[in-house]
Order: sequence, then structure tokens, then C-alpha cells
Amino acid sequence: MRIHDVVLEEEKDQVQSFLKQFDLTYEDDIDDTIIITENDCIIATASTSVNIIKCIAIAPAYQGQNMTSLLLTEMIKRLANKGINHYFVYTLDEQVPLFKALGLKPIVQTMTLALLEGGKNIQDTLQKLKTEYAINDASKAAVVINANPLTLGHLHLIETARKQHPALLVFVVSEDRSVFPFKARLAIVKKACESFDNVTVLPSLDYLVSYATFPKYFLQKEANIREEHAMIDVLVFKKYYMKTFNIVKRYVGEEPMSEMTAMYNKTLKKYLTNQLEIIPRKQLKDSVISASTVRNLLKKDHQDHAYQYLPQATVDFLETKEGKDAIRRLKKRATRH
Amino acid sequence: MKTIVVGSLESSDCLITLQPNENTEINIESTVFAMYGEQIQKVLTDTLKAHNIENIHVLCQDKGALDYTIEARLITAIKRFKEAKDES
Repeated sequence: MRIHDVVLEEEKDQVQSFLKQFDLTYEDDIDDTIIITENDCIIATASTSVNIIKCIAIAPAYQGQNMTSLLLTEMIKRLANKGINHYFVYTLDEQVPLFKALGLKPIVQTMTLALLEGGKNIQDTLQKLKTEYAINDASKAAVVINANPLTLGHLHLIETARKQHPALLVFVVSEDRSVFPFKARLAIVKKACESFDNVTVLPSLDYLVSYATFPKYFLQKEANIREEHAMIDVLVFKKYYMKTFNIVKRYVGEEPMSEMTAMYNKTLKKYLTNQLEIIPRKQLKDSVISASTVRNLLKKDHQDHAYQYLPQATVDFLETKEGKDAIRRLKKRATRH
Repeated sequence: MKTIVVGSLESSDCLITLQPNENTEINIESTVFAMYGEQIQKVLTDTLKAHNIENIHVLCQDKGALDYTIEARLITAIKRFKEAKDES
């Protein structure tokens, strides 16, 4: 019995057909796969995609021999080598006890799917964030934005929400996969909200609209994203963020253009019901303001047109060297973010 | 600097993860935490002290390892940690 890497295409094909017996598909975002073989036959496999461990399967004859711990230990070590110490496992609902016994913590479960984590724990992490930003226990409203980059539309959402509540939390998506780096996005939002005394701007950390909770958001074409993909993210928000920070209302912008965001909003509505407020988009002349429109304009060098949709803080950033670099990256990118 | 991971998640073993940190922090995840949490904490703290290690984050994912297993795993991790530090 030995563990080895899957590198060759034909080996990948073997893993693929092995996974098929378990109704699992070998997903195309996988960046590392290991197999355990005996007499040249695959008896177990696991894969990682960034910080997610998935596609875990063990041949029926070898189940109950603690193969999972072997696979998991190997994967944890490999991730640590890449500098990843906080990892997630996606698995079927009925496998949760198995992973719990290996020290992983369940975060949320849907009817079929469960998300667990290791290396860190969501409750402690959020509690730390709360202390760090000196957030009290009074009831609050919240918005979650990627702000890639921050537009007048985002600002309108923030303004509307903060007028109706004594306090507002603005979570900026921490996941660094967008063309504008997280640090810049956070700094711009902080700058733009400087004069609002009841607004706290903070990072969303690894759990909101992150690669772990909403992988498809960053990968798939919009049309392929379905409700179940957004569900984990929504449940995490409800179960942990709302509780920890005493959030009583979440505000989102109405989504007339992106099908995916519209679907995300619909899922939010389903689980948050009257705790969700959908605000109509701010319009400029006849067009609604959206960050993707701004990115498209910047891409095509229509700077002046783009600036009409942006607050001063964003414009200032775009004029810096870092901002110009971001625009240059934008021109090279084919993806949505 | 890279993270050091030593051990396994097999029964009667533990997986130790070391990372540089601003202060010394110990996290224990154990299947027998209720019974032996304090004892594990003591073994980890004492071993760190004996090797003059400070400003480190220790994560111990324990599956019912005995004291000397935990100690041995931590000592190995410390040795690798020092090696990695010297290299960088």
C-alpha cells in the first residue's frame, strides 16, 4: 500500500472512473490529487482545490480501516507546505461523524452537503474580530460587499442602511481573487465611510462569499450557479455572523443585471425572510450603477465615463500607481472578477 | 516562514502544527478534551519551556495520544521549526 501523487492525464482518468462508483465527479478546479494504491489498484483518493479538501472516496472493501485519517493527514501536511493552515472539507451529510472524529468542526449542513473546517474555528475567529473592532452587542444592520471597486451604488446602499439603524457593519469580502486587491478594496471603503459615525468597516474573513463557502462564485459561468451553491454561504451568515454581531437586518442591492447575484439574493430572501431588505439600485441618468459596468468601462479606457459612477475615494485610488496596475490587470483578464 | 506539521490523525497519535506568532498561543482540539485537556496543555507548555520556545502558535489535534507521544511529536516539530528558521 502506498500513497502517491496524481500527475498524468491517464491517472486522472483512473481517478475519475474510481470516483464515479461513488457518484462523485472529479471537478476541474482541483489542483492536487493523491491516491492510495494496492497492487496497482486505486483503493482511496482525495483532492484539494486551494483550501478545500474534497472528492474523498475509499473503496468499499477498505472502508472502516481508517483510510480517511491517512488521506486527511497527508492533505493537511501538503496544504501546510503551501502555507495554508485553515482548511475546509466538503462532504456528504452522513459522513459528518467520521470527520468530526478526526477533529474537524462542522460549520453548516444542508440537506445533502456539509461543510467542515480545521485549523481554525469560526466562533473564535468571529469573536476575535468582534473584539478587535470593539463591536458592542447592540442590534445592527449589515451589508456585505466585494466593492471591486467601490461605486456610488455601494455607497447608496450603505447610506440607506445606516439611516435606518443605529449601527451598520460593512463587511468587505476578504477573498483575494478580484482584480482590485483586498487591501485596496478595504482601504477605499474605509476612506469613503470615514465621515459616517455609525458605520464600522471590517473584513468578511474566510467565511462570507469566500472561496470556501461559495466556490462557484469565483469559478463558474453565471448560468451554472444554482441555489444550492449559495445556500452554504447564506446559512453561515445566518448562523454565525448574525448571532455573533447581533445583526438584525441585512441590506442588499436589487440585482437587475447579474443572474447570479439575483439568485444569491433570492436564496438570502428565502432564509432571512423579513430580515433582508432589498434596496433598488441607484441610477445615473438611465443606467443602473454596477461595479461590473465600471470594470468594463475601465477596461475599454473610458476612464471619464467610469468616474461618473465612482466616489472620490475610488477615483483617488485609481489615480495611484497601485490603481493603474489594477486597471492594467483588468485589461488582461477574461474572467468576471 | 513555512508552517511545520508533525504527526498524524491516527488513533493514539496527534498532529502538531507550529507557526510563528506574536505571542505564545496553544490551541488544543482533542477527542478526549473534557478528560485530559488540562494535562495536554501542561505537556505542551512544559515542552515549549524546556526548549526555550516563545512567540509560537501551537495547534495540537489530538486523537487520544499519551503524554510522551505528544511530547515526542512536539520536540520533533520544534527541531524542524528551528531548522527552517536557520535556513531562512
